Amino acid sequence: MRNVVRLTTVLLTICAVTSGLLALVYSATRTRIEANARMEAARLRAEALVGPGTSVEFSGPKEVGNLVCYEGTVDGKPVGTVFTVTTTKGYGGTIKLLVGVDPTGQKITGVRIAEHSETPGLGANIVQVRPGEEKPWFLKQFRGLTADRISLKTGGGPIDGVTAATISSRAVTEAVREGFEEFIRARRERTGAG
Amino acid sequence: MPRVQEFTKGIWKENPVLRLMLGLCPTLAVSTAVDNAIGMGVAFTVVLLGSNIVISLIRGFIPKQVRIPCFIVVIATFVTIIDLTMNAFQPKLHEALGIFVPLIVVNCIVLGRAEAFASRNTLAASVLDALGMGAGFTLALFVLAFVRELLGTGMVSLFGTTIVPGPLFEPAIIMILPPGAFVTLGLMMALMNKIGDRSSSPSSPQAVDSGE
Repeated sequence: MRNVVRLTTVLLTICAVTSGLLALVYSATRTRIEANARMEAARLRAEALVGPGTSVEFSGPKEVGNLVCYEGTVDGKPVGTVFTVTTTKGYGGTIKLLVGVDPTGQKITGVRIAEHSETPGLGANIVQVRPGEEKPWFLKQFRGLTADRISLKTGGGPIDGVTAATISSRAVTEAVREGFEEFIRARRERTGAG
Repeated sequence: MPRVQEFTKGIWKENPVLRLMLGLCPTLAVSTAVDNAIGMGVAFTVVLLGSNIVISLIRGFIPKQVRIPCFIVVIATFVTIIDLTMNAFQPKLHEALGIFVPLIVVNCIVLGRAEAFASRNTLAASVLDALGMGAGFTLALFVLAFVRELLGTGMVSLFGTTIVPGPLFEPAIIMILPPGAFVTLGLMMALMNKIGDRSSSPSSPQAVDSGE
């Protein structure tokens, strides 16, 4: 009986101390982690619209159809819209994408991946940046494409898939196309009604 | 006690991956590229060091019956603290290592060292043990990943710098797929056993038995 009390006390003490420590570290780092995430999201949106290194002002979020959109401006001039698409067809689960569209709403300006859990070294190469380059080579291929041309080479399109990662490549490509089609449809409905 | 041995044993004689055969799951999973191998190795070494230090310090207080839950709580806490701190202060590094850090909790080498070494040895010896095991793990992963990346992609790059330019030949994609990991690891173990046999053969009774 005595022994049981001792075992419980020791384990309880260790758990209490570590929980306290975790709570402390969590509250000390939370604001910074959130600020980092916000900055990272804004940076990715800017990259999807105009590429790395340019600061873009965003207004939003606002809903277009069922897409969450941010409108970007550089020095007061509109440079396009960024919307978020989420697909569950990735190899390792959900992939969250940011898709940039030019002000006319006809062409993709860029695609960035906000979250993914694809296999390191294989599917994760959808965000691989080749040595000496600035942008991920796979995602770069979407730039300038109209909605009807977004498909992989195996499907007759212009996009090179990632080697040994057909599922990941297809998930991204299909998500971009479906999101873009939805965006065009929602926009047409809105301008048609207004 | 010869202290330096606590460090060197992790690299060759008791190499966690190639000799003790521990932590094979993350080893096979992340050894697709040299970058991943080094990232995982460094994150792992830091966690093992922290866990060995704490467990060696509190080893006197932990009753034998509840030692495993105690070790796991300490290890998981360490991993989470490192994950949160890196996320807050080194977001770039966190992004690069992000997926590997939570994997360390399930890496049985950390628990293995806590159970087999840190809970029975002094602080200094446990620190050396952690550094040696970390170095051995990182080295094994590095060699494995180097071979796989080279044969699987035809070139090797390290954090954006190309070490082996290429592609030098038509790459064998199977090498960066799971079968390539098993094949390479198996050959590395065979090679290590071969070298190990030769160096210990003069005093080893098995070697005498199996001789002509």
